[in-house]
Amino acid sequence: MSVTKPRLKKTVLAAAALVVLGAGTATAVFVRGGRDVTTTSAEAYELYRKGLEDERRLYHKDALEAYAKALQLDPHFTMATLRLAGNISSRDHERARSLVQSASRNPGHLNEREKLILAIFEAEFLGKDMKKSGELIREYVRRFPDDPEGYYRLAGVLMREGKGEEVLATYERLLSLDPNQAVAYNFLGYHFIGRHDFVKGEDYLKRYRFLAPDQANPYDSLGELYANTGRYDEAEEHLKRALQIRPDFFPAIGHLGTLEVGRGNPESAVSQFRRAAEVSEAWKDKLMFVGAAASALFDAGRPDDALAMLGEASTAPPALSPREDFYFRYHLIRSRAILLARAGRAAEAEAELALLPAVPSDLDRKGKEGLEKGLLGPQAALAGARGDFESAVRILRELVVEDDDKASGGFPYYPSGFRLRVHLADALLSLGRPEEARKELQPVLAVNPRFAPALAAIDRIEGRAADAKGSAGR
Amino acid sequence: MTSAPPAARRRAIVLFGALGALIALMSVADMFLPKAWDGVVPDPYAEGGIHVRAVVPGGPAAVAGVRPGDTLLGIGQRMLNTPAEAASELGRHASTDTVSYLVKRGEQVLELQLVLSPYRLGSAAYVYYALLGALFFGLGLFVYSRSAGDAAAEVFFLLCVLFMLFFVCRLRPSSYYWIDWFVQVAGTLALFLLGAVFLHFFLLFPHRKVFRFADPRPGEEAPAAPLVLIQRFLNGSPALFVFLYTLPPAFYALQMAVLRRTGDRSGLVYGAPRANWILLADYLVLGLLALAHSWWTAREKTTRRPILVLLLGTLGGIVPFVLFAVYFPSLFRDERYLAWGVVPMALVPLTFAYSIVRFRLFDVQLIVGKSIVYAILTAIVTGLYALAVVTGNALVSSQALFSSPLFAFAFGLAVVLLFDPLRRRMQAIVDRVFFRDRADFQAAFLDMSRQVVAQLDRGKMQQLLTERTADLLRLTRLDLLTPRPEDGALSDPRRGEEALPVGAALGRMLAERDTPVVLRDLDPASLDPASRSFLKAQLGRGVRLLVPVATRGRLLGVLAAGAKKSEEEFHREDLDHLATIANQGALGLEVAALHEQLTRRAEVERDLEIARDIQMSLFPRELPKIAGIELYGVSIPAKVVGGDFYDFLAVDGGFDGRVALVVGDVSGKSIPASLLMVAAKEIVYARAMQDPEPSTVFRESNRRIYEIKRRMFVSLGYFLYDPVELTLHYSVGGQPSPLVVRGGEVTELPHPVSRLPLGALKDTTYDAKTFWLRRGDLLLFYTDGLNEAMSVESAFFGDDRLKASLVRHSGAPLPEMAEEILEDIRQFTFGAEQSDDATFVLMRVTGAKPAGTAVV
Repeated sequence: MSVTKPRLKKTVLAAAALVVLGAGTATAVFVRGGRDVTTTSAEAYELYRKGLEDERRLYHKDALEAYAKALQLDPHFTMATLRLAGNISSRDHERARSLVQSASRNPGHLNEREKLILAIFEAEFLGKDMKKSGELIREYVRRFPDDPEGYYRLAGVLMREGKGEEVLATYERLLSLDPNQAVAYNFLGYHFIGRHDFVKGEDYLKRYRFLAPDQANPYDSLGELYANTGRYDEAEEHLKRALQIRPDFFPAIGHLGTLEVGRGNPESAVSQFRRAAEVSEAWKDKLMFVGAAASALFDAGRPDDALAMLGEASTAPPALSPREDFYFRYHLIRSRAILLARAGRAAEAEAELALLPAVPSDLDRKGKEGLEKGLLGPQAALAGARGDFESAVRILRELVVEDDDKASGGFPYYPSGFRLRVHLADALLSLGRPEEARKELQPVLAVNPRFAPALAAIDRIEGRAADAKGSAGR
Repeated sequence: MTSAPPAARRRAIVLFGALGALIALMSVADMFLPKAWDGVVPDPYAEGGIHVRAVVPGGPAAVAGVRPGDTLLGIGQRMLNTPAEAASELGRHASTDTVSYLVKRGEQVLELQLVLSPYRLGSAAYVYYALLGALFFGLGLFVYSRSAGDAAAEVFFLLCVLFMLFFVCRLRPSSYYWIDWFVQVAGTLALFLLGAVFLHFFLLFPHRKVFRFADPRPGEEAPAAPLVLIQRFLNGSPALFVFLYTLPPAFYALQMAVLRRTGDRSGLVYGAPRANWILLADYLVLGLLALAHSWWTAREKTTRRPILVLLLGTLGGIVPFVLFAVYFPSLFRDERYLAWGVVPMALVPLTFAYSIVRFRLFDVQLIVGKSIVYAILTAIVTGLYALAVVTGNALVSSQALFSSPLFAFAFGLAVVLLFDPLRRRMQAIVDRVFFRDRADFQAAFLDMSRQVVAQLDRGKMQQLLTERTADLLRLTRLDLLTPRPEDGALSDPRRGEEALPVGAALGRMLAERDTPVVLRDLDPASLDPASRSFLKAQLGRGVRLLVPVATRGRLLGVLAAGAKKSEEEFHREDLDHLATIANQGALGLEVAALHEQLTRRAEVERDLEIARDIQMSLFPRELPKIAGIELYGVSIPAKVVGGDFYDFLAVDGGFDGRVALVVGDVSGKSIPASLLMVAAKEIVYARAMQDPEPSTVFRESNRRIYEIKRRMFVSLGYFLYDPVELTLHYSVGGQPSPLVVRGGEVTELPHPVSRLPLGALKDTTYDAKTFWLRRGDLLLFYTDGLNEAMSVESAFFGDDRLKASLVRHSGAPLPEMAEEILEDIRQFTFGAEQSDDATFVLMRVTGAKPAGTAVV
């Protein structure tokens, strides 16, 4: 093939033009980095991306910092503004609302995707119209079916709507598009744990831990799972790792207490629960851990100390709203009544229950029903204290059934359900129905074959002396 | 379907080749550049995580506990869905980093710590695959560069590029890197196209395959319509090839759609549907069958041999490939024997390379220097000996006898002694296989060329030129068209068919170029009617080429060559040979023509010699002894024979009576002049013997000579010597008057009134004069060749010089005088060619007569 000079020249020029065009396009694409959001600052965009990355790993603090810095560089960066609002909304709703308002006032030249996200935020924060927000999110998913953002938000909508199976499918779709969504793994982990599919639950939580190895939460979640399924050593390791990462991570301290209960070390559990109560800030958390500590003290054979601990808590109530104060007192009295009844001091227990504050008149029906059901526990304990084990068994069975119902949608797999069944077994044993008692314990041991209170109950059933300390070694 | 213009098609092919080479290079570079490596061999086609097909023993993954069958969920705090994402993640790590791997094994999810290591993925097997691919590509590129424009060569190039892509891009582990995408796409493309191009190639090579199963023979019934349709489809290449090329991607799309719907990936083999692999194998087998059919139907031994070699080589490569690299993995899911299928594939390019060197496949002439071949052989022999030495040492080193230095010396000596004989033996084999045929052909060709030039017989030379060349080049016919004697038109004298007239456009074209003209390449519209008619006739005779036989721009003839017996197209080398033969033929024709000319001249000269002898015999053998006078005559013809003559006629019956001295000069020279001279002499003699009177002799002779030959004249001097009267009675026509020296003075004899040469006019009267001689008179009778002898400067010797010479030498005896006069003339004309016959007669009067006689 002969190539004449003019042809060669043309070819070379054409090739050079193509190279320049290609290089220009590549540079433009590279510089722009395939941006899908509108901002005037490349640096702000990088910070925004970092914020997204942090957010999907549930590093909310880091994400907030990144979005805030991005906004410093480009104050009209709408998407950074909205992300910031979304992340602070649970703690400071008003500020989040003002941020959305500012984004709404100065939307700038947004693309269709951004406009739709803005509309979703406007519906949620400004219009407080969750229905509209849900519709917009569904529209977003339709229009941008390959964008993980839509599925992330849709899962939230579905969760609000109580569509568990659809939430599951949505998160799975989300992970097929973006396998680095920690929130999805966290949800899926607890979802499967709630279904008592601990293998799958552990799988997802491990993925979460893999994504966020420097977060305390995934270690705590896995530690909780292991503690509740009898894998105590792994639980201890994970929980301690969580506390290494964040020493004030009170859930992990609480789970260490739970672990000790499971092991049959109520004394050790008491100190963990106490510490958790100290570290936690919210009164609800404090109350929960105080209750747990008192219960452990009772199990350790120190009912007076347990009652004293509850009494001490009641004498130093935090500054609470009337409604909060009601609930505070309600749960404290309820716990004391249970312990008094379990100690065989039925009259004192009844007297304690008489101290319950009046139910607020403006409480809705559901709230009132919840309070009534909350009293079933003390009633069962009272029946047992009075020797009316038939009534105790009936009430406890009602509670167990309710607990099983909860398990299909929530996560009450420990400790309440297990302990209810242990009390039920004891009541049945007192009625001379050991086989029924053993049957009631089987679901507990199926989940955690090393749960010391249940094993102690088994020992009692088999006529052996219960030695919680000794059974923990099994 | 219209085919792309040649230039556009060429560009597309070159672009395809360049892209293929680039992707192959990227793949090879990707395999051999060190990178952070985890020792995981993923299944590149799996979805939903990275499925570990294998772990490299001792590699980071194996050390960390990753097992085949595991699924990698994440690497380095990133969850992954595809190997490409893994590549991206690995690319962020240094080659010694410790990285977390999230691995799913059954129901378990494990987190393992891998210490990455630098690694080149390419194995020894991959080196072989890459070299094999390079071999294919190099061969294809070589063939294409040497035979661009040839459809089979183009398809062959594409085939080689696809084989390269297949070996380099499909038979490699995934590297996780972005290059994988290009490589896998290229590999899949190769999978689609390879079989189709393979079959396409062998439908074109060595000849375009034409299916004839529905052509009715005489007496047969017309075949069924479906058969005719199928035959038409198979022979209509665009439709057939569109079908061939569309089928694999259609298969792929269909099966992938089904797989996507069912989710069953068990039908995938290396990421492609099993049916595509089977289709590839089918195409390859069909290609082999097409080649086998070409071999089976080839008529010429010379054609069958290369096809057989190719068939054997291709069978040896393709059959194991189909079995072990296609059927086993796709049907039995067994990859253990993959290498068994790939390694023999080297036979395919090697066989093609061998056939190119040996049989000039694709019209590619590759002159492999013997020195190169011998150097390679020497290297091979050296390698073999080195291997033998190493093996020998390894085998016998444990024995005491062989550890002796003497053994090493003896072993070395044996190697040295055996080296050369083995090398020579191998060289002999190479000579026999690669160089003998060509050497034989060249020797025969050279021999024929020599013979063509050496053969002086034009007929035999032409026969040699046509028949031997046709035999050597295996042509159906080869004729030599030469100019017809009558009109110069080019034609075959043996056949007398359509001739190419002088001045025809085709003739001019042939005269202007010295290379063969392929008739089918000529555009008849650009020719004149005569050329078109000639072209049509030649094509009708089966002529395919016209080769000009020309020298120095002169068209001596044309070689008309028919097709090759093998039905192959003419190779470039064939055309070169024909051009060479034509040049030799031109030389031979010229030599033969020269030889004929020389022969004719020799014959003429021989005839002239005879004529000269005859003519000389017509001159007096002895000068007559005549009373009263001495005579001496000389005649020197300008050519071998001349038109001059002199003689003495005893008109009274003896030389004691009257004697007539005749000096004649016929116009012109050589044979015609000599013939007329003889005739004129006889006429004059006859007349003189009847009546010696000069005027009568002249008049009668003139009439007769005029009748014999017009426009040829005879100048004549007729001098009747009377010894009694001592007179000369004479007539002179067209000749200078004789000179007479008397008393030291030289004068001319008086002229008669009528001086016309004989034969000039039909009826002319001549008069006569009488000159009385005296004792001592010296007379010179001569023709104009004497006084008009010319020097190199074209100056005449002249009357004056002649007279002076005559006077100067008048005292000498007549023979000496004649010689001196001739010497004077020679000196004057020194170096110049004699332009005319020169004849003269000297007469010296020795008798006496009374003075006072007068001229009448």
